[in-house]
Amino acid sequence: MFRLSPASRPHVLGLRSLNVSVMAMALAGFTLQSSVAAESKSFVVSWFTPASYSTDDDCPGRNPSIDGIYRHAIKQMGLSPDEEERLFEKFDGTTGGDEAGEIIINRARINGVPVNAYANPMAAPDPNMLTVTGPWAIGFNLDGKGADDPNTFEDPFTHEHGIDNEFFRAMGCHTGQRAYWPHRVLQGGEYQWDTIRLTQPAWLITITGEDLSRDGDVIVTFDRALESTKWDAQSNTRADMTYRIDPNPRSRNVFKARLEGGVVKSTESASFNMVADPYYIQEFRFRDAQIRLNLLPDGNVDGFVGGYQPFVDPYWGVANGGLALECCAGIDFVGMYHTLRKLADAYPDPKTGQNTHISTAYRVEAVPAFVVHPEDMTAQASGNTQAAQAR
Amino acid sequence: MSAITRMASRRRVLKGALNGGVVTLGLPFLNGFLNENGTALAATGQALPSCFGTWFQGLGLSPGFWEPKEAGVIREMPMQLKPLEAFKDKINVYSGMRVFLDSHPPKVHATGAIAVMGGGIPDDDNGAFPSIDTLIADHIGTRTRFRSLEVSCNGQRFAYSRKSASAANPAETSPMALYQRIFGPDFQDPNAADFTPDPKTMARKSVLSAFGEERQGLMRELGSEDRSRLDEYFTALRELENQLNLELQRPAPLDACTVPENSEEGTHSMVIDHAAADNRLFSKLLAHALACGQTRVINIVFDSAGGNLRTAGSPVTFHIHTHEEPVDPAIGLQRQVAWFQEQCMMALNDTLTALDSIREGDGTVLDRIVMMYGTDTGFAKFHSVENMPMFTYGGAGGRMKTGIHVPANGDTTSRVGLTIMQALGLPVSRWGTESNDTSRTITEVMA
Amino acid sequence: MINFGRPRRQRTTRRVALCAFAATAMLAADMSIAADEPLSSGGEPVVRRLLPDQYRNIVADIFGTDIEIGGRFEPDIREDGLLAVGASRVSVTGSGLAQYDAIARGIAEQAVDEKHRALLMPCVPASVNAPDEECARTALARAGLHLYRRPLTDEELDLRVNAATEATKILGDFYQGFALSLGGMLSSPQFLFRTERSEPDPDYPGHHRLDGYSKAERLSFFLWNTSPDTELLEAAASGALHTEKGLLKQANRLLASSRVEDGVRAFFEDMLHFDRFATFSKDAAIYPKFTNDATEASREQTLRTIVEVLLTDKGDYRDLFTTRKTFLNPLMGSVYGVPVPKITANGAPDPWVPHTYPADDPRAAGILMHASFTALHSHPGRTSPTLRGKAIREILMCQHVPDPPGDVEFTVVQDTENPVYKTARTRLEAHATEPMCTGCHKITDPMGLAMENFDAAAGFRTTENGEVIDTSGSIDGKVFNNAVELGQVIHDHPAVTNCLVNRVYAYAAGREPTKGEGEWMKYLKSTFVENGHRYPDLMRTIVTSDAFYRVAEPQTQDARAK
Repeated sequence: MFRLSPASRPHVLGLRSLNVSVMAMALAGFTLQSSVAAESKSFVVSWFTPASYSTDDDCPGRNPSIDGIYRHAIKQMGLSPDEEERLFEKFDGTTGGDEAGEIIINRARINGVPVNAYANPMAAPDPNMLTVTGPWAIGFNLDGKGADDPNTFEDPFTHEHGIDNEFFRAMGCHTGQRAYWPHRVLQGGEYQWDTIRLTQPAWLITITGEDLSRDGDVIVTFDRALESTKWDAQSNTRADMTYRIDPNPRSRNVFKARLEGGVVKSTESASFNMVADPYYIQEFRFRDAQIRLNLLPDGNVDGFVGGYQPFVDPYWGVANGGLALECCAGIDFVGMYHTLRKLADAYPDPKTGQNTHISTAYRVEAVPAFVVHPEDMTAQASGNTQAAQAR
Repeated sequence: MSAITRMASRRRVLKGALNGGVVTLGLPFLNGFLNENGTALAATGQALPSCFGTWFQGLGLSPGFWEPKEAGVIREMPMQLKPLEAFKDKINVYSGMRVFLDSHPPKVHATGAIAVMGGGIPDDDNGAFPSIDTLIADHIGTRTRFRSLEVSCNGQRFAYSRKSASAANPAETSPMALYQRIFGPDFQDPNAADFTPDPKTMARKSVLSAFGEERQGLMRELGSEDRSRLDEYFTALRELENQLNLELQRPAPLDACTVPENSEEGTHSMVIDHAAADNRLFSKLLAHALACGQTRVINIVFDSAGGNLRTAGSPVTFHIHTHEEPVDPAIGLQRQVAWFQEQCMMALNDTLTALDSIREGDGTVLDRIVMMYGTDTGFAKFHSVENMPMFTYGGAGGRMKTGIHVPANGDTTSRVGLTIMQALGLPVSRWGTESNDTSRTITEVMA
Repeated sequence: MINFGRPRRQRTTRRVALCAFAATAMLAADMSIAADEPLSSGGEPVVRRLLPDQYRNIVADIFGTDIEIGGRFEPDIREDGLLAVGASRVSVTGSGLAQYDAIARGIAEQAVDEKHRALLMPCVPASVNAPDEECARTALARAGLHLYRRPLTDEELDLRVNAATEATKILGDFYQGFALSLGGMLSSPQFLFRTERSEPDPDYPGHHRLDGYSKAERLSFFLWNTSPDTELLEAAASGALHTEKGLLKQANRLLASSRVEDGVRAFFEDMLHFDRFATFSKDAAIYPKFTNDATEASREQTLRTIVEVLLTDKGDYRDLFTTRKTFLNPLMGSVYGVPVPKITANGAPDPWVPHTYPADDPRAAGILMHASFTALHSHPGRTSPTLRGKAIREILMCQHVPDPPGDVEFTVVQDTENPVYKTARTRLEAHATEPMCTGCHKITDPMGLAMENFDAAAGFRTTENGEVIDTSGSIDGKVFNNAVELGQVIHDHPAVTNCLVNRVYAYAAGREPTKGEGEWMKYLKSTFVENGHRYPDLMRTIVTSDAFYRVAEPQTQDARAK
C-alpha cells in the first residue's frame, strides 16, 4: 500500500492540490496517517538554463565568432599572416582541418612546449574577453551587501539592487550566450539540457505548506527521480506523470521559504546540489543558494535558483567538448576560463586568496507532476508487478 | 460505398475507357497498373514502374516555418517551402513527427538521421538497421541494372543507404564519374536489350493458374449473393495472373529514355554554391537513369547530417550558425540559418525540376517516383529530434495522393517510411524498432 | 446452469411438439432443468472474410508465433454495428488480393525456412532440388487441414501437389516450390473465407444444420478468435460435435482455456469500434498529453477492464458502466491525473496496474469514462455531447440515430471560444433551437452532456471557459446529475442488455438474427438476465445451443438444381 508520509517528511509525497491529492491517494490505496495533512504541489523540471537577460546596449561589443577567436589565437602564437592564411585555407569551420586543428587545440605552452589549451587554460594567454557592463541581471543578492555593493546588477523583474551574477557578466557578450527574455541561453543551457532531458533522471520540485491557496511558510524541496522525464505530443515535458524520488540523498535539497501572492521565496539560504549529466554539467553545486518560484495560473512553475558555483564547473561543462564544441558554441574556452576566474567573487582559496566560486543564477521551469517516495510503495509495487506479469 | 461496389464501378469505368483504345485486353486490370487517367496504359499496354528516392540534407528546417497552416490540401506553401512553390501539388508535408530516443543516448546528428532513414536507433554507432531505400530496392530494384544509385553533393562519400552496419552504399561524388557509370560503354539501351522472364514469376504464375480451376467446385456450395462475392475474388485472381503475365513479357518501351550529354566534372566541395551546382548535374543524370530504366531507386545527399556546408570564403559553417546565432526576435528565426535552409530548399527544387522535366506519356518521372526528404534534426539549434520536417514528393505512379499536409504530432517518423513502402507494394505491416515502431499507415495520402 | 445433461433426443421430440402445440410446450420433464431453448429456424449459412486479427492468430497457431506478417489487409466494413457482420458482405478486390498474395508468400517463405521447417514438414524431401510428390502431399494435407478448417478434397490436394511440383521444376528448389503452393493456399478463397456448409439434420428430418467442421469453426472463432485446433477438428471429423456430449466437452474445453480472453477482446474491440483508433488523433496543441502511445494505451485500458470484470470476476455485464475498477499505466495516469508510478526499469515497457477509484470519485463511472470512449467519440479539438450520446445510443443500445441534414449551420457549436456560449451545453442549446435539429438532439445530447466533465482527450474538468459545467439531465424518464449517475442509468436500461445479446449473437453468427430466430433471441436474453448478466454464461448458452447451428433451407446452386 502507498502510505502518505508523516508531516515530519512532508516533501516525500507531493500531490498537485489537496482535492486531487486526497482523491488520488485514496484511489491508489494510500492511507492517511497524518492528522494534519499538509498540502503539496509537485512539479517536474522542464528546463534548467542560465538566467540571462540580454539588452541591446549591455556590452561594449561582441566577442568574436569562431574564426575571429582562432585568428586571434594564431596571431598570439606569433605565426605570420601568410602562415595564418595558409592554415585557414584548409579550415572547414568545424574541425580546423588536421593541421590547423592541432595548432588551435595545442595553443597553450608549458615550458615552450605546445599543450592542450582546454586542459591547461592558464598556460594560454588571456584573450581578454568583453564582459557585460549593462545594469540588468537576473539573480539574488547573495552576499547580503546592499544596493551600493559595486559590481552588482538590478534584477529586471523584482527591481532589487545589489544582485550578484558575475557568471552572466562573464558570458553575456558572446553571440551564442545572449538571450533576450524570454528566450533561453543556448550554449551551456538550452542545447545541453534538451540533449540530456529525456535520458537523465527527472528533477523534481515539491512545495509543501498548510494551505497553498494562502500566503504562509512553505518548504520547497528539489529531488532527483528514478525515472527520466516523459514528453507530450508537443515534445514538451509531459504534465501529470508520476515520479519516484531517488532515495540517494546526494540530490536532495530543502529550502525554507515563504509563499506570498503566488511567489515562493526562500527565507534562508541553503546548499543546492543536483546531479545532472556530464554532457551539461556533471553536478550543479551551489553554496548559499536562494530560490524564487512563481506559481503560474496554468499550474506550471517558473523561477530562479541562484548561488555561488565553483567557477570551474561551467567551464568543464563545455570545455570537455574540446575543439568540436568550442567551434559550435562560439566561445573561446581559454578566454572563458580566464574571465570566470577573474570574476569569481566568493570563497577564496585560503592559500592563494583566489576566489573559487562565482555568483550565478539559473532559470527553472517546471510542469505539474505526482511524486512518490519509493520506500512507501515497495510493497504495492511488487504486488503490482506480479499482477502485471500475470497478464 | 463498400469496397466491393467501389471496385465494381471502378472497373466499369476502365472497361469503358478501354473500349475505344488501341489495345484490347480480355481481362480487367489491376488498379496499380494504371495511372490516374489510364492513358499511359492505353498507349503501351503497361504502366511504367514506380520508383523511390531519398534527398538528404543535414540540419533540417526551422520549426514553425515549414508547416502549412491547415491540415489537408496544401493551399499556401509555408515560408520555408516557398522555393518549392511549383511543386505544391506534388509534395506531401507531414508535421509534428519525432524520433523516439527511448533509452538510447542521443548521438548528435547521427541519431536523427539514422532513425529517419532506418526506422529506429541501433545500439551500434554506425546504424545496424537497413535503410528504407535498401528495403525498397530489395523489392523493386532486383531486375534493373543498378539496384540503386547514390550520390553526394558535398564531396563526402557517405550516403545514408545501408543494408547493415557493415554494408553501406558509398555515394558517387563526381557527376562525370556517375555519367560514365550509367551512360558509359556499359549502358544498356532499355528498348534494345534482351529480356529474360523471372523464373520466380513464372512459378508464381503456374501456381495461381492452377488455383483458378477450383472456381466451379467452390461456387456450388454458395448462395447467390455469396457466389457473386466469390466471383469478385476470382476476378481479382485473374487480375493478379494478368499482372504476372505482363511481368513475363518484355516491359513497356521507355519512350522518354534519352542519353544526356556527357556531364561536367562538378566541384564537389563544401561550399554551398558548389554543392548546389553538383546537385543539378546529379539530378539531371539520375532523372535520365530512371527514364531509361537503369535503376528504380536513387539516393541524393545534398549535405550530410550535421551540415558542413558554408559560403565561399567563410569558415563559419551552416552547423556553427545553428548553435551560435541567436534567434532574431523580430522574425523568430536565426537569420543565417534560415538563409542556408533556403539554399537547401532551392537545391531540392532543382532536383524536383529535373525529375519533372522528363515527360512520359501524360506524366513525368516525378509523377512515378516517390521521394522522401531526410534530415537529422527537427531543430538544429539544439539537435532536437522532435518536430522533424518530413516530406514526400511525387505520387509513386498514382499510388499516393499528393498536395496534402498531414499533422501527425508526436508520431514517429517511421510512419512516413511505412506508408511509402506500402504504397510501393512491399509486404510490410509495420516498420521501426522500439517506440519508433509503427503499424499506422498515413492513410490520408494512400491512393 | 443450462442445457447440461439433457438427452438430445428428448429435446428434438419436444421441439416437434412445440411446432404443433406451442402453448403446451413446457413439458414437465423439462421443468426439472433450467429454462430450455425454444425452436429456431436458423438462418442461411454465411461466408465471412477473415478479419486481420483472425488471420494473424491462425498464422501464429500453425506456423509459429514469430512469423512476421507484412502487408496491409483490405479494409473491413462495419454492418449492423459489427465488422464481424460486415465480413459476411465483403469480397476481395484486385489490389487486395495482390496484398494477400504478397503477405501469403512472405509467410510461406518463413514457414519453410530452416528455423520453422520442422514445425511445418512431417517429412524430408528426397532431394531439395527436385519435386517429391509424396512428401509435398503429406505436408500440404496436414497444413491444409488447419488452413481450410476441414480436410482438403482429393481434387484440391492434387491441384496443390501439382502446383508445388511445377513450381519446384521451374525453380529447381523443393522448398521454394512448396512455399509457393502453400502461399497459394493462404491466398485462396478456402482460407480467406470462412464458408459454412449445411447438411440435413438426421435428428430432425426435413431440417438442416451446420456440418461438423462448420460447427467447429463457429465455436473456435467465437470463443478464441482463431481456427479450430486439432482436437476440435477431430471432434468434427468423428461426428462427436453432433452429439450433446461431444459438443459440451469441446465447448467446456474452449471456455475453460485462457484463450477465451482473445475471443472476448475481439468481440468488444469490434462492438466498441476500436478499429477507429487506427486513424484517430487529437489536436496536439490543445491536448498535448494525448500522444500516439496514449491512443494505444486507451484501448488496452478498456479491454483489460472488460476482461477483469467479465472473465476474472465473472461479474455482471452491466457493471462495466458503473465499475470503479480499471487498469492504468503511468502514461494513462497522466491523462487522467492519477498517480501511477513506473515500477519497471527506464526503457522497459510501462506496467499496467490495477486501480480502483474511491466510491465518491466523479470519474468512477465505468468504461464510458475511459479515453477509449470519451476521446474516441469527440472531435480532435473539442468534445461533442452529440457524438457521445449518439455512440451510447448506437453502440450500447443498438438504436439508430439519423445523420444530420446536409445544410445545417454549425458555427455556434464549433466556436469553443464563443464569449456568450461558454459551455458545450449552451452552445448546443443555441444550435438545437433550430426545429429541424431539436428532435435528434433530444435523443443524443442529454447523455453526452452528462459526460462533459471529460474533455475531448479524457481529462477531467469541472468548468469550461470559467463556467461550471452542468451535467444533469434525463433519458427515457430517468434522471441523472452526473456521469456516475448516468452510468447507473445505462446499467439499468433494458436496451443495453438486449443490445449486447443481439450483438454477441450477430458477432458469433456473422449476421443479424433472422425472423425465425425471434423466440430463440428472446430466450437468449431472458437466460442472460436470469443468469445475472454473466458474459461467460451467455457465450456458453450460445455455443451449447441447438439454435446456433441450425440452418434455414440453403439456397445453393445444387439445391436449386434439385
